[in-house]
Amino acid sequence: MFDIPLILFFEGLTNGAIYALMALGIVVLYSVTGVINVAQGEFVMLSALTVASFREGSVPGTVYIVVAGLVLWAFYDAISRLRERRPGRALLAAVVPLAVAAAIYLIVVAASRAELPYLAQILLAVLLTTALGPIAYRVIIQPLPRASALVFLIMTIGLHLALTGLGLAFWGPQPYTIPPFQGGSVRFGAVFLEGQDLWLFGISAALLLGLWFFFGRTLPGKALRAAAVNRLGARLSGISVVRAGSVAFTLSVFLSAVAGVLITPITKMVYDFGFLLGLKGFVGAIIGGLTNPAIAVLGAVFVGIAEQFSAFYISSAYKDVLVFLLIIPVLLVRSLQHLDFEEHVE
Amino acid sequence: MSAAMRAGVWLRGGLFVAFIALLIALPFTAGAFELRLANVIGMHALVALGLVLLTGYAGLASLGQAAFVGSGAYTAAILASSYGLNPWLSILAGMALSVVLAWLIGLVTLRLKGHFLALATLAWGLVITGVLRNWMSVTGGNTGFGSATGNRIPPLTIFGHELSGDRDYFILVWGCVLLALWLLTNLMRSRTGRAILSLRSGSVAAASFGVDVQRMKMLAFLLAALLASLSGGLHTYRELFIVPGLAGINASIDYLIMTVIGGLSSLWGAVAGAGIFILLKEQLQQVMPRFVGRSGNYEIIAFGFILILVLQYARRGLVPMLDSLLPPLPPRPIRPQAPPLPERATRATQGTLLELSHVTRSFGGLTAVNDLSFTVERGEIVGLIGPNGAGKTTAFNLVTGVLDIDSGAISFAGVPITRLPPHRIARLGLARTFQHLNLNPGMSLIENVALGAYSRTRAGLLAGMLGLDRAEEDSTRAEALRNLHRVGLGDDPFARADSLPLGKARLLEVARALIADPELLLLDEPAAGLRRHEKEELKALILRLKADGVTVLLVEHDMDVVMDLADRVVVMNHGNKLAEGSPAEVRRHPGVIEAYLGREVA
Amino acid sequence: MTDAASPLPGGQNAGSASLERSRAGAPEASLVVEALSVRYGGVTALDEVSLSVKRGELVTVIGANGAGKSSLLNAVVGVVPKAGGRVLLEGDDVSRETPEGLVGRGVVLVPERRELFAAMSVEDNLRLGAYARYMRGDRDLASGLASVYETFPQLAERKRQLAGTMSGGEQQMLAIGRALMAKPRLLLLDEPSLGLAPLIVDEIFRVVGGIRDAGATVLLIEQNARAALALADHAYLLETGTVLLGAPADELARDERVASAYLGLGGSRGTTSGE
Repeated sequence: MFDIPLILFFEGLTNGAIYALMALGIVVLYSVTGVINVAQGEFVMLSALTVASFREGSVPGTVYIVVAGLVLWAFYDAISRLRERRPGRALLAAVVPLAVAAAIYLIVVAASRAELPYLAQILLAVLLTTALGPIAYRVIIQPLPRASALVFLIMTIGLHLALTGLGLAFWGPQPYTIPPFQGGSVRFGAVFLEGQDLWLFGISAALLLGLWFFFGRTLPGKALRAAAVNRLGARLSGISVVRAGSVAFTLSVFLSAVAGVLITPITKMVYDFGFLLGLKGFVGAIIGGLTNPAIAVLGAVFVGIAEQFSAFYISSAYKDVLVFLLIIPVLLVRSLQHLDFEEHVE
Repeated sequence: MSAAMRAGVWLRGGLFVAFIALLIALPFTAGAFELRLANVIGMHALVALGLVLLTGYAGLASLGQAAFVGSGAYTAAILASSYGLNPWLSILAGMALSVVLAWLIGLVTLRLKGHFLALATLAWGLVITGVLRNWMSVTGGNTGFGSATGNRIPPLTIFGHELSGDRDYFILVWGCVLLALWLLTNLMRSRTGRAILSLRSGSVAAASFGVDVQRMKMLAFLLAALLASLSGGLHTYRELFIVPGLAGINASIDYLIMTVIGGLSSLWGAVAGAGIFILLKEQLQQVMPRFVGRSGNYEIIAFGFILILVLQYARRGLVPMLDSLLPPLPPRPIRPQAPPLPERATRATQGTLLELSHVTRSFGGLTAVNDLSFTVERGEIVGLIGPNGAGKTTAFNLVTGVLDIDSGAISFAGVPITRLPPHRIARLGLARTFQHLNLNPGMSLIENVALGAYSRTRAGLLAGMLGLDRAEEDSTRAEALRNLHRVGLGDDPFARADSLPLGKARLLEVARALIADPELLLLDEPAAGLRRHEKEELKALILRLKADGVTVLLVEHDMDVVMDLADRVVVMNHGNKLAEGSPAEVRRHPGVIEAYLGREVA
Repeated sequence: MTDAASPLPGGQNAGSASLERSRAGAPEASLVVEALSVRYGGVTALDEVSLSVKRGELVTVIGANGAGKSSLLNAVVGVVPKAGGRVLLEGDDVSRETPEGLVGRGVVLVPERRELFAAMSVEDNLRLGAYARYMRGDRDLASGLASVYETFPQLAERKRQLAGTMSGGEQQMLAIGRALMAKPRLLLLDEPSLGLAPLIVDEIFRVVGGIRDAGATVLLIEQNARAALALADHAYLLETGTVLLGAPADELARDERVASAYLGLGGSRGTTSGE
């Protein structure tokens, strides 16, 4: 009698774990920088498709994005040094990112030709995608320290468009899957859990625990939270808010990258799938008020489970609609808790 | 008018004439393809115009405008096809339904601010698109709705002539665009338009001159939905076939890109942005697949970069930037002889004007104002002073309704105002200035002052849009000039507000408060940061106002200013009233001296 | 663009200018501010202010509200941009340093609004005060915490309490404690007595005196002139962005121009115009 609900539950839990990783990434970034990254899901897509490229033996398009980003970084750093009238420093500032770009390129090209073991391919894909974190921060967020959160939101929409289009250009419109980490399955009554699902639960739980420990018990983690709680107070305590933002962005992208390599053995990855994942993770994050990681994770898992149940019992067509309708009352309640948040689009 | 200004008028006039000439010539000279593009541009421009009003002017971010395009399009299509409604009426019905939908959505969402609002509109857009995709029985779902799927949409007809082909629709579409441009331009010059613009400098300031902020936000939201749904209806009849993607997030993002490129705060920017976007998209859709070697919509890569680059380097957008290269337009002349605005009815000279009784307000554990009672009699200048952290600003905000009191009562001219919202209190005859300036920096002095006349004027939305409010506008501007002279800023009424030094900017805020013809003027630390001669000007002005019969309540730190001006002084410390009396009495009060100079450490 | 009240360039009156020069040149000068100006939005908050703090001294800057005192500290630390002048820390030009960089150099500001991490616990706030030295390798937080808890027993009773729920006095103590956790060489305090009850003010001033006695250098901005002058070694009187007087604290305490600067009897302008 409980067969169907149980199956739905575990199906929802599996999806929910992915949404939870997305929600965590959104919460980490928002709670430190106040920025909402609309392109959160694109990093899932990029890391997944990078693995797919490695498996095919081709050079993943991600490396070109990283290299281009580093070139921009070199350019921006050089310009700001020149503005401070330090031409010597400008040359140095330009050379370092370019050297890093060259090194990364060579490593990735070599790796794509060598037939590395699967685990190594996955690790490299996650690292390569995560490199986009500090790059995106440097190129998009850092140049405009006084811009409003709304301007950042719109810029991340631009990032979403660019990355989605590049995804299409590099990998085409077809879906990709990659093999699971290990085979086999476990049985819970009527429910079959694949080995991959267990990996997903395990790694998600481990990341959640790790982040909880980092933000709650270590001083650098607390410093990141402090930068969000009171920017001026943080600076006066010796915390560099710019560095905090960069770390937060990197962590956020890392979480998406991990989600990417965990999901592709379970469902297919297409170039535009990331956006929908990001949206669902976002609903979870909103339930957690965008700042509470524990509730965000629970919220995301809830979204995953509710989705399965409503798809089966109510209508599989409208499941997305019901999920998005959830956002509005939650936003209302949450925004009432933010006192006097005046925003202008300028 | 200087030679440069004259050149500016001729240049802009010339551009406008060229544009109109182009519009007239196109139907006769252009081929089918160009006309089709022109129509697409026009329909997008309509939505973009609404977005400029909503986001650029009212400051409400929306990532779901396309949803109203969809609701307008589908309503028109379904009513005309399945229910046989007259096509023209179906467009109007689509607009009506979309406005009702927007009203319901707005009730729930417009209380949100900043990016929360943007995300809520995103959510609504997704919900509406989802409904359109999945309500197969009514909308036909993803395969679309229209003649191709068996739902015949009858074409629009005028006097028996069927409108078909892009040449016919060109006139209709661009007629609508020009009409919308005219109505919106008039609107932004009217009293309602000023109220909408004031939403951006903060709703506290707007409420202080009587603007009902929520109502204005809703108005902007509804007008934007109206334009979007009109675009949708036109689209239905131009294509005779519609798909849910019309309402989708990608379409909403497209409209956002257009307005960012053209200039979010510019109506012409909306039109230019639409044009640039559509034309660029056309080109990129040809070129980029060749570059990549495979077909696909790669132009979004380019638009993603453009969005980021424009926001980083050209945030105001193309049209405002070009506009700043041209010499500025001469300002509209002021007619000082225009009939005056109505004055406040009562001109009593005696009696209590403001009364606070046992007012208390706490924040968390901190009692900011504790059992505060005092009165302000008509014709007085009362100073409210106290050291930093004494609770003066909180008391001020309680009187003006920005904050709610925990207990006690406040009444104004005998009317209890304890639970009234700020804009209602303002309309009773209370005007204020702000410690941290709340002006519109890009607007001229006279425009800023005119904002304050909101509660004294009456022209409504329609009158504003149709340009029927010229007489009242002339009176308003004349009155604004009069009040500029009153504070000593009448020499250059068309200067930009952000060109003023702090002292004069403070005077501008006073002028804005005065134009409301208030009974009680509340000044929030007007002398803060002023140089000595600026303080003297301020003192002289306040004494002149007293002679005119204006009662003044002054919150101030600067002892010189207060002691020279005030008839009575109320001293606060730690939220309590410490002393009350004439300036001389208060200055000798040992408690007051201790509060200001401190005492020896035990 | 100096006010008519200050007849000499730089705004300092004749008597204190030479005293100031000798102070600034002394080898034990920990902090030297030279002709510092701060402008924002058309307002000149500070007009070429110069002062110096010798090592181990407690120097106070007093003045009425709006005199520019907070702008002084904010500009020294780098929270607001400097429109002119420079800041020297033990001889090094730190005019372009960031606030977080200065913490690394041992200069810590306790701002007017305390700027605590309201959503975090008392102990977390204190630990974060030591962030800069922690990241530099000085991982010993325990002894710092013990010392702060000894100085402020009220904080020890509330280790896990959220900073935002404490009273004004407790918050001020926490703000000072957080600054102390950085083991500062130079402590800058912006109106610590603001909005606090007299008994708590007494306690805080006692603590500040103790900090100076223990060897740190302190620059104290205060509205409570009497208490500050009783505590300080040297003092400056600031009015509308310029230094009106600079003298040893006990001399300034006896000067009647202090009272008139605060209570607006118009006296200060009358007397200095004759100098």
